[in-house]
Amino acid sequence: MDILYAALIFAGLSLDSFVMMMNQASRLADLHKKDILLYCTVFSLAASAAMLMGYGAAIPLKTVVADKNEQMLACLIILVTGLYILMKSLKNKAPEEKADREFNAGRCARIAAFSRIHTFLMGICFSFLGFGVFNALGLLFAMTMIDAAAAIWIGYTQGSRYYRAVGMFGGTLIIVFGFLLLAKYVVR
Amino acid sequence: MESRRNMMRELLLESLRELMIRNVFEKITIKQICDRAGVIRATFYNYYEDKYDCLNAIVYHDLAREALEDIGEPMHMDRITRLLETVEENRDFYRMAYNVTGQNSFDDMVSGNIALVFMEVFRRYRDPSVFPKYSDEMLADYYSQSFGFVIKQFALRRDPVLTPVQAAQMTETLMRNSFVSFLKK
Repeated sequence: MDILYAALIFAGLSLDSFVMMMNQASRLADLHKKDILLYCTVFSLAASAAMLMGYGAAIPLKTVVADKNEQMLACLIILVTGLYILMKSLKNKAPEEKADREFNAGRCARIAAFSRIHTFLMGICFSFLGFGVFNALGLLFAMTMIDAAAAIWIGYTQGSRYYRAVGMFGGTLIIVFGFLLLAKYVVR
Repeated sequence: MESRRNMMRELLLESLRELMIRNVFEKITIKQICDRAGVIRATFYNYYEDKYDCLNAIVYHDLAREALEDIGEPMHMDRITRLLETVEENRDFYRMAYNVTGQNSFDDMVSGNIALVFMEVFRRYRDPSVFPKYSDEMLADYYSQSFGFVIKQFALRRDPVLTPVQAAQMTETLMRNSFVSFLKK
């Protein structure tokens, strides 16, 4: 799989994280640069861990799924994930602008861990599509760091805005590239 | 330091008050409140938990603060009239504010803050021998709902519009007379 396809699918995934971090940051009363770095790192590590677990889970799955079906299954999972993110964004209501005085790295890690199921699934998909694990981890970590930092800053200074549009764009991006991958690997 | 904090609190609540005259409360964001006040967004959370907390602070400022600072003689007509004059000055705000319903309704904020005043009045002036089985909290809630009704009527009624003096007289009549007083002998 092309690195560009992977980057754009990660971009779509990262936008979902973007909305989450933006909503959370909009409720913070106090934020320092070191906090931003800490939260971004925690979030990115959690995402990378989920991706790595996905790659790990793909190993036994490869023994039960026929080679020719791996790519089709990967594309379908990507499409469903994109659809899930899109539908979730459509249903999103305006986040409650209430102060959260207890947010810390621990809570950030818990939020990240419980929301990374689709990153885990992407790990399986990317493994099926033959994308190198280290490339995937590096790309995901870098993109999540940048996205999370931007999201936290925007949420803190501007509040949570355009959360629905951003989430929908991310879902749409994943769906589009899901179809492109389907056309490239399965339909041809 | 304390006066600076109070000044900032008032700046933010006045900002919300002005916004509410032209905008639906649910659509007002904290960024808008802070932009109007000329402060950064995060400043808001140093003073209030959320915009409902800020709205409640407006009600406290208008209806309870002055009375609590100087309880004096209870049910003083001048005090009630002054309070209603404050509502009259901000009638547009109160008309929009009464649209805030649900779990954090404006009605509840008004009666809750008035109850604080009644509680303090009962604490200082209550005759313990008169119906002792009714607690101060219960009586404060009961009378605050009644006065809250008057304030709502005063704020919302358009034709005819009540004057502060008329509304104060209504308050006094309702507070001083029981249900039975209004029935034929």
